Amino acid sequence: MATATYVPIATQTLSTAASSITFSSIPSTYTDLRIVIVGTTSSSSVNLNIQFNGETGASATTYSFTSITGNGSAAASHNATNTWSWVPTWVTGLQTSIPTFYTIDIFSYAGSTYKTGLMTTSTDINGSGSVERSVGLYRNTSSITSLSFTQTGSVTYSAGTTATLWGI
Amino acid sequence: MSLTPGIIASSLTGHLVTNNFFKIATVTGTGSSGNITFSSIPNTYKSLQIRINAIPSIANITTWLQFNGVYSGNTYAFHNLSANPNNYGITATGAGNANWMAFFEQGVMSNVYPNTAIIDIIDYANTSKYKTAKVFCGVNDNTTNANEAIELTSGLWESTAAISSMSFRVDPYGATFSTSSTFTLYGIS
Repeated sequence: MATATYVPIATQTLSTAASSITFSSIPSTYTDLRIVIVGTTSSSSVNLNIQFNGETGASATTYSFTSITGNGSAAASHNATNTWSWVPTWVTGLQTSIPTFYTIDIFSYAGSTYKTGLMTTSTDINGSGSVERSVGLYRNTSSITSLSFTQTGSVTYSAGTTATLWGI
Repeated sequence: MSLTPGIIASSLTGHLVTNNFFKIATVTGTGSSGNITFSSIPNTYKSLQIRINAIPSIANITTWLQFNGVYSGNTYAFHNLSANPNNYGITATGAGNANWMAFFEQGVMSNVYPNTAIIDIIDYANTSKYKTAKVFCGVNDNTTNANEAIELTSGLWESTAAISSMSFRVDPYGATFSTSSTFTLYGIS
């Protein structure tokens, strides 16, 4: 018999600005994870950085990603290797007033293989913006038990930013 | 674990169940077969979604998707938009009157790192419409070689038959799916 799934594990809405958003103690009982984020930041055109299992800062080199993007006039592709986070937005980035919409799907997050994720970014700031699709690799065979959306320097996620973690 | 100031979601209780997204079946690779088939798919849902995390035994190949055991007759078509910045940049390809839908179409699959895909098929049980599929897939191997790509694919099956089975195949390339490969079929009501 089919089992109902696609369960909202946790939702966060920032009441005050924060330099990171973290989901911890993620249960291992699902096949995949999906995170939906709609947010703004204290500075414009900054990255959403995704890190796992308590890794913080820019010391790790176990992440990589590839993306395709369109900005209204041209399409482009990018990649980065040996990075310290996944970055689903290569071109436009988070803005101070207009929300950017992200989805991140992480496959077999509780398995013992390396982890691959598919990401989407939608940003429109009325005259500029971008639509992006990305794939990320996390070269770690540990189960993902926590994940964080971090910023660098003094940049913060603004109050009102929402993030929901789903188990599928 | 040290965390920078932020909001931490622990004590993950109070789950809500949306009750319209159902896990129908999971098929795991055997290491000896390159054909993953879902059969006896119930016709009681509106749409299907298949989520794939797969590693084949051979690199630089594509995956074929076929329905109801139809492997001939030229009833499939697909279009593909793919990016691999260090090899072909961005490319758009496709095929008509084919015998399969292809994804990872540029022959980008890795045999080391997981190849992932989300496939949506709308109105799969409708007996008066052809069937259209949407594929979002990607692979990354932390290098700038051939086994990285982000791809979007549309697929058509020119048949009004309800989809009751579907097969994901790398066996035409002589490949098999590893035991760490998982294919999960969901029904959306």
